[in-house]
This record gives sequence, C-alpha cells and structure tokens, in this order.
Amino acid sequence: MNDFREITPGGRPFTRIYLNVMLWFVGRAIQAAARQDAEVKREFEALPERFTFALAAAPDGPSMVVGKDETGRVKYLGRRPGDHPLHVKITLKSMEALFLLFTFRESTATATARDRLFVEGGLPEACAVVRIMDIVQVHLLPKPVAKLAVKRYPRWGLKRHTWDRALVNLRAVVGC
Amino acid sequence: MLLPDHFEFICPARTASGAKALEHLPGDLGTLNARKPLIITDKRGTEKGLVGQVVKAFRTWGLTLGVYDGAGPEADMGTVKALYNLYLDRGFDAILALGSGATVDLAKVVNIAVSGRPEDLARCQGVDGLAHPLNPFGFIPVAAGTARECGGEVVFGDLYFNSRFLVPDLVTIDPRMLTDEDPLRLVSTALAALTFAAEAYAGPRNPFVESYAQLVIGFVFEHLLDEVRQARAEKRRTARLTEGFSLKKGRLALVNAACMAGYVHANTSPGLAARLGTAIGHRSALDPALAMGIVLPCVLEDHAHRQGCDLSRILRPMVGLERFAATPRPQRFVAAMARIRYLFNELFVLTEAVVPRTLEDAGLTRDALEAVAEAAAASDPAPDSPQVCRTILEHAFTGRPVAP
Repeated sequence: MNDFREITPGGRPFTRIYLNVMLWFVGRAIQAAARQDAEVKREFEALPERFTFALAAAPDGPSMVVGKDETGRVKYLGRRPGDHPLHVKITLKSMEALFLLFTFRESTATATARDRLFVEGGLPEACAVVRIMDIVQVHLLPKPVAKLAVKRYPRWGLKRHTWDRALVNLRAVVGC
Repeated sequence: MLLPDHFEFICPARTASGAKALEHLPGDLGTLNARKPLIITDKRGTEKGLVGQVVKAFRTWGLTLGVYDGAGPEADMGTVKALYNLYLDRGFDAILALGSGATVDLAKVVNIAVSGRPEDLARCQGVDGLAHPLNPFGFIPVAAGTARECGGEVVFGDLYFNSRFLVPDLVTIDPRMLTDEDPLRLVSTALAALTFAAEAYAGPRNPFVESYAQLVIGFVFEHLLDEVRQARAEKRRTARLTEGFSLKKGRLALVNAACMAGYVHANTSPGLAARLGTAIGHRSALDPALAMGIVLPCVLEDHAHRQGCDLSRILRPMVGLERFAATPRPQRFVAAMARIRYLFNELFVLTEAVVPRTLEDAGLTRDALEAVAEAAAASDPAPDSPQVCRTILEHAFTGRPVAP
C-alpha cells in the first residue's frame, strides 16, 4: 500500500535533560527550603512521619522524589520513584505537560485545571506539596517569572525575600 | 424548563480541547488499552504537517504509529479491505481519524470491519445495526468538517450505518490542527452545526440535547462572523503576527460547536432542514451545509406555525440571557428567525456573495425544487410531507419568511 507508512516517534533528549536538571535542582531546593523557610518547615511538620512524595511525567519521564527521614529531616531522595514507598505521587500526563510547568508557561493550578496531571495519594497531602512547590518556586525564580509559575505571588517580608531566599538558593547549590 | 416524562441521551466520547490537547492522546488511548494506533487521514493531513504534529505528541511514549494518508471521497470497499488487512497484519489496536467528512466515514467503516469481520459491513447496515462496541476510535478534527463526524451516522458509498457505537471514544481538538483552512469551509461547518442544533429544538423535548444545542448556537453566533471578518480583512504585518492567537480562539470555539453538534445529531432524528439540505446538495453544486442553513429559518417557521411548536427559547443562545429576557415572549421566535437571516445576510456581504442568502442566489432554478422536495419527503412517512417541503423550498428560494 503506497499511502501507508509506520513511524516510531523519537524521544526528546534535550527536553529530558532540561527537566532532569530542573527536577534535581527543585528537589534540592525543597530540601533547603524545609530548613530555611518557616512556612515550608511548618507544612512538612504537618505531614505524616516518613512522608515521601514524587513528581513525575508519564509514561517514564523525568521525576524527583522528596521525603522526610526518621528524624523528620527533609531530603531529596533522587529520581527513581520506584525505589521508595510513596504517600503522594503527582504524575503529569506527558513530558510536554511537565515541560510547560517547568518552563513556567503554566502554573500548577492551571495544569490541574487543564487536566494535565493526576494525583495518587491523599488530596490534603497533595495540596500541601503544591503549596511547598509554590513557595520554593518563589524562592528560586525572579519575580516576573515566578508570577507565571504560581497562582498568586505572595507578599513576603524583606528578610524572607532576601536573606532566606539567598540561603535557599545557596543550600540548593551546595546540597545541605 | 419542564422536565419531560422520558428522554434518553448518550455521549460516550471523551473530549479534550485546548492548547496541547494532542499530548493527552497517548495517555487517553492507554486508558482504552490501545498501544498501537493507525492514523487514517488524507493527503492534506500530511501536506499541512498535521500528521507530523500528531506524531510529535507521541514522542517519549515509545509507541509505533501507522499512518495511512490515502483517504478521501474516492475511497471504496477495496480501500476498506486493504486497511482491514493492514490493521490485522501489523497488529494495530485503535484507529485515529484525522480530518473530516469522507475521511472520518472511511475510518469508521474500517473500524466496523476490524472490530468483527468485513462481511459484517453488509449485515450491520441501517439504524442500530451494530450489536457490540467497536475497537477504540479517536477523532482529531481539522477546521472544516460536516459536523456529523462526532455523531453515529456514516454514509460510505451505498452503505449507511447509524449507531451509538460509531460515536468516537476520544475527540481531541487542538488549535495546532485548525490552521490554514479556507474560511468558507469553516462557514459551512458552522452552518451545519447550527442546523443540527436548531432543529434539535423542534424535536421531542430533551434537556440534555438542548444543553448541547444551546452551546452550539451560542458559539456559532458569537464567533462565526468575527472569524470571517478577520480572515478576509486586509492584513497588516502586526495583524498577521497577532492573527494566530485570535483566529485560533474563534476557530476552536467553532470546531467545538461542530463536535457538540455531532453529539446532538447522534441523539436526534435527522431534521427536515438537514434532509432538504442534503437533497439540494445531491442535485446541485451548492454545499449541503449552506443549503441546510438557507432553508433552516423556513423549516423552523413551518414547525412553529403549522405544528404549533414553541421555539421561542431558541433566541436565548443567540442573543444572551439579558436580551432574551428583554424581548417580549411573543416576539422571541420572530427575533430568532431574524437573527438567523441577519447572519446569512452578513455572510453574503462579507464573502462577496459566495455564501448565498437564498436558493435563488445559489443559482438553483424553480424547476429543480420539485425534485428536491420529493427526495427530501421520501424519508418522511407524513402524507403532507411533499407539500410541506415544496412550501418551504418556495420560501427559501426567495428568502420570504413563512407566514403564520
């Protein structure tokens, strides 16, 4: 049949690399913010012991795992959700959806409204994770970009905007 | 609205509409246990890069897609048999129809064949001839269509099928697929959608159908004229730059309207305007969708005056709730018919008479009306049907309203 052909679509290597780097950095930034930012600390304290969550893209896209250890310290646990028992897993329906999220063209709220993600686990815990990620994005991004990434840009005090923010970024780079 | 004692409604389609909707398709197919889809499209689908967009959406999923781009009006049973063999030999488990009209009809016929045997095609003809659900079927609309694609009706050569199992399982409306279309084809899609929706008001009361029909009418009246104006306007450089955003929004609304009209069509019997339009299309060069639109106000007036249907509520989606409420009840139906005629008159001016206002404008002769009336009346068991059709066509010929 002349009009027929079979196609195996390729991958997206550069997008995958970008997302892996972003998730790695955001994971470490969550770890840093849990130590530096009082609000993130409170959110994690309210979550169950050894709480672990993952953010991933379907079907086997980039992912990150963050969780609390036995002492309650928050740690970035790598990029293999299968290695950890998860309380919450937020899965973006495609790598493109995760790419939209991490190129700040869509906020988490918009992605949810557009049916781009699904959540496995408790909804209150998932909401806490989204709140934590919003705070971390505000720490990491300049205001004009962060405004695109979060639903409402928060009104923070000067210390939180400068000192805490600088330390969160520094700790994310250093990894402590 | 009074709740009728009994009504039924079925819409098995999962509709995804909006930016990057195509990227949801692999996952949505996965929920139907489909891993290897066959895309059936026509040459335009390949030439305009639409197939490429679909293939891109499947990147990172590790799936293999089949693409057949030889669909079109010339497809016959030989094509169906070839695609049947291809589907089974290569292990496909779903069909994605990319395009409109004949392309989608071919894809649906192939799906009937691969869900059973090719011999089933002769056995399953007619209304509700299909006894079981078919294999997963997805539909990706382009800007132009017949507004029947999302329905359960298929006409393929001499074969006719009408079954709820022919309504697509997935409908994915993505703005990237709505580019580079002739605005006149979009007009014809919108008018077909308007006809199916408006005629649904004249059928048995069904609140679900009316909800969809109301949205269809609202979208058409809100966006159609703007779309045509923008498409035909002199384009400055800045306008061309911003065109993509504004055009796509209106087109997206009109294509959504066409899909919803398909769901309405799947839940209602074909109306008189649709039958007359099809009969005119068979006997002249006039696009059936335009013909449906031209006869629509006369058909609705006939329903209202001769059969006593209260169709005043059809005005609401055309003008919005406030202006509907501001219009006295006895004036509402007249106002609605005036709105439909105004739409046509505007299209006539905007398209420099390419979209006709009347059958006379379209170049039909009075002599041709008799054959059209007989053809349209043939599928209606009512004894006065030929006379009714004749009267309606006479009025639509000159654009004269049907008087009470």
